[in-house]
Amino acid sequence: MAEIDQFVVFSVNDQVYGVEILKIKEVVSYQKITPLPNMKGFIKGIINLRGVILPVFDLREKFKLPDTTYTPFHAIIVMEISGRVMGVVVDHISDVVDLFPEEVQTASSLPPGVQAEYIKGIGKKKRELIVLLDVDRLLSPEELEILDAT
Amino acid sequence: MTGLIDTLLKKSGLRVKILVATIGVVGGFTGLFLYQTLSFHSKSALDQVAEASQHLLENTYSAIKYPMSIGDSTTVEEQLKDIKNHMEGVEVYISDFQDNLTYASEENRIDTKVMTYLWEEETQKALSNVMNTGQSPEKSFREFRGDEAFMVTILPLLNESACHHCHGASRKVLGAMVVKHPVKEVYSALASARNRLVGFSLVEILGIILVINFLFNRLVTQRIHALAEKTGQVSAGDITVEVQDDHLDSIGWLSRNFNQMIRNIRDRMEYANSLKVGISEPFFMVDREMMLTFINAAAAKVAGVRREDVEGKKTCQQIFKSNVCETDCPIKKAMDTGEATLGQKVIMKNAAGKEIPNIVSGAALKDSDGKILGGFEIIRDISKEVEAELTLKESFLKEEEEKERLQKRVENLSEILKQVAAGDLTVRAEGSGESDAMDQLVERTNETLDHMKDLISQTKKSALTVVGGVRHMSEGNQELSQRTQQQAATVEQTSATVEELVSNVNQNAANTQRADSLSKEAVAVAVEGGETVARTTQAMNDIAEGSRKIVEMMDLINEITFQTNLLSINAAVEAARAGEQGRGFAVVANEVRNLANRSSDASKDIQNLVRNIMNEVNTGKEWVSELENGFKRIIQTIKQVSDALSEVSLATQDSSRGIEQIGQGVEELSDVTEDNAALVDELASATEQLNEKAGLLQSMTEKFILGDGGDIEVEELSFKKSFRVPKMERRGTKPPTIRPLREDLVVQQPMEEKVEDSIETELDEGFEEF
Repeated sequence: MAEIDQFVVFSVNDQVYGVEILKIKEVVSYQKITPLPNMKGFIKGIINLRGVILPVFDLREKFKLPDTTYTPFHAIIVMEISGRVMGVVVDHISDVVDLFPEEVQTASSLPPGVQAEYIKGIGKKKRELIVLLDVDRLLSPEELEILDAT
Repeated sequence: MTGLIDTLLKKSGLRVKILVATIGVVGGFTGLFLYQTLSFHSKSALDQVAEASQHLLENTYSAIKYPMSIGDSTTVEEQLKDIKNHMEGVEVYISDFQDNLTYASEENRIDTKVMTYLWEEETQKALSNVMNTGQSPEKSFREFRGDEAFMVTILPLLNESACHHCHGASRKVLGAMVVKHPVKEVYSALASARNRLVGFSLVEILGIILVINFLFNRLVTQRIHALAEKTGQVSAGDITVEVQDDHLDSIGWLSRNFNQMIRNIRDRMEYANSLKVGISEPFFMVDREMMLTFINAAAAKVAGVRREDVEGKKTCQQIFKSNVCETDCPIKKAMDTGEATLGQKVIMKNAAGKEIPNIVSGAALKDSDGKILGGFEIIRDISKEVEAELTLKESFLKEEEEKERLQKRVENLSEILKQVAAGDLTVRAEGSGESDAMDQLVERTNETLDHMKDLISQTKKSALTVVGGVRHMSEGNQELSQRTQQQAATVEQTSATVEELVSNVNQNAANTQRADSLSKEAVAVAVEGGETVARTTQAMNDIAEGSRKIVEMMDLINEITFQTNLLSINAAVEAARAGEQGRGFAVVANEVRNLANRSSDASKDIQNLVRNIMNEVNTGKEWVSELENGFKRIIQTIKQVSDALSEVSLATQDSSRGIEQIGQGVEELSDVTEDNAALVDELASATEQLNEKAGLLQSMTEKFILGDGGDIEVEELSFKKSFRVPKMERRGTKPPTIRPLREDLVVQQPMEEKVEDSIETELDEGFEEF
């Protein structure tokens, strides 16, 4: 039996993205983000998740997409990025999908011109394309430095 | 003079008045104060000088008292010299009782008279008084010469016991001591102080006046001026003004009250405008010159003009061209009398020249003094009512015409029958060609006349051949009898037809009444329909409310679905982390997630459905409102129908009366038929008398005018015959019975035989008699 990978699927600005399920700690509904003084760059602020303080950033900002108004139906995905646990704000969390290896096109085999910096591959499920993100490469070393400083 | 001041006060502004008053009051008070201060200053300065002189006098006296008592003249002289040296301008004189100077601060004046150095008469008198009485004058005296001024103090030198060793005890007064103290400097100081004070006071007065004037101008005049300006605008008709003043003093309250007044005026005008605009009937307003100031859309539509073309440009007469504009205008009447004119009927001409009948009401517009400013008029278009009235009138005229025609025809027939009754059988009635009951009557009558003519002609012929003639005559008479019966039956039939006509008309009236009551029922049903529509509206509102609640509940369901989805994803995460052991749990998480997704889709569908329902309900509401208007129009229309039916009912009653008159005509006809029967009877009796009066037959038969070929000579006549036409049933007692002719013949068969027999015998007898 072929190895099946599970991905948590969500959307940002109507584009569907997927993240390996084992990178995900938890999914919570949107709650108010407390901004910190002297905040730098992409970090939006912190949230209190059952007593644990987590830094939060918005994928929209990371992908340089237009801002949106937050509603209770936005979601924060708590995930592990390069060994650091943090919250990521996304527009809509939809599903968990199982992808067979033949349904995944790896980043190395993507056609030239497609920016492959954060992309692990493209999943194809029921004619829908899911951009599979490599969360460990989502933040650059400089950004990780800022995060550690915070 | 006071009149002039009054005029000046009235003409000058508030600011000038206050300025004048301020100058008067401040100037007056400051002047008084200045005067008091100056007099007090000069008095106290002079008092000080006088006191100083007194002190000097007393000191000098004490200093020289002892030297003088021991006769030490040198010390006295030294003392006085000392005074002269130390006190500039002060002169001290000591004289004996004869006014001769014994000692003086001016040494060269010794042995002269003291009086020489006293300039004022009052001082000189005081000195002599001191000399005589030895009493101190208790005050100092002022002396002026040129610009020199002195204060003079006098002290008597009394003869004390210490003096007795030189002067003896006889004299009471030994002399006097006089001190002249120069006061020129005091006066000049006083004068400069006075000048300074006056100068300062003038500056102070000016300052106070300027400050008061400035404050008054700022706090009162300007604000009142602003208020006056605004009130001027209001009295010129501008009511949009507002005074800005937030002070809490009287002027502030005046301004706010003024603003409230303006607002009240605006409110009242707005109220009047709302009334004006809210009238949906055709409505317009004019000023005293009948120029239109306002015309609403309905009135503009009636006149066929545009509002902006006529308002303020044309008079009401120019656009309505009513037939009463010149003679009996309702607005003019209302403006002349002040009373409203109600429900006047007029005919107007609109812009297209079409005449429109209207009912109008006019009234005057007055101001608060009851002065009439203009008037207004409300118009109601009654062209439909007038049209209905005309139609009714026409139908009534038509009925009348019908009735008259029928009467004329009956009269014509009656006239013919009258001639026939007179024996003229050549006349014939003429039918109208309408083949109605009347024409049938005419035809039957003509037939009857034809038969009568034939019969009589035959009678005449029968006289030629006696036996055959008698038989023929009998037959002829028989036939005549039958015809008369037939005629009676026909008349009866006509009568029945008329009866039927009456019952038809009555039925008509009943039908009209039923239609009226049906229309009333229809109104009730329509009203009930309107109520049902109102309940439908309420139900639709309930549906809309319910839909809104569903939308609210859907939000809650969405929230729960979203949270469930999150939970399922978290469960999947946990299951994945658990690896193989979590596989079963992953399946459950997947199912839960599917359920959450399905309920999310379902809730979206429901939300769309509810949104559609709400749209439908809104559309439905619009339809229901149209339905409501429709019901209102139905009710109005049915009411008009009901009115028209009442008019028809009245017309039907008139018709009923007309037909009753026709019935009378038919009755008359029936009488004529009876006369006919009598005529037949007469004919029978004439036949009866044939035997005895055969000779008279000629003359008798000559009674009948039969026209060409009918008149023949009777040779022989002898038979006797009598029969009667059966009495006719009167109209209306029972329905006419039409029997077949054969039946009559059968019934009358025996009688015929008997008649034949009697004719036989009578013939025999007749012949015998002959």
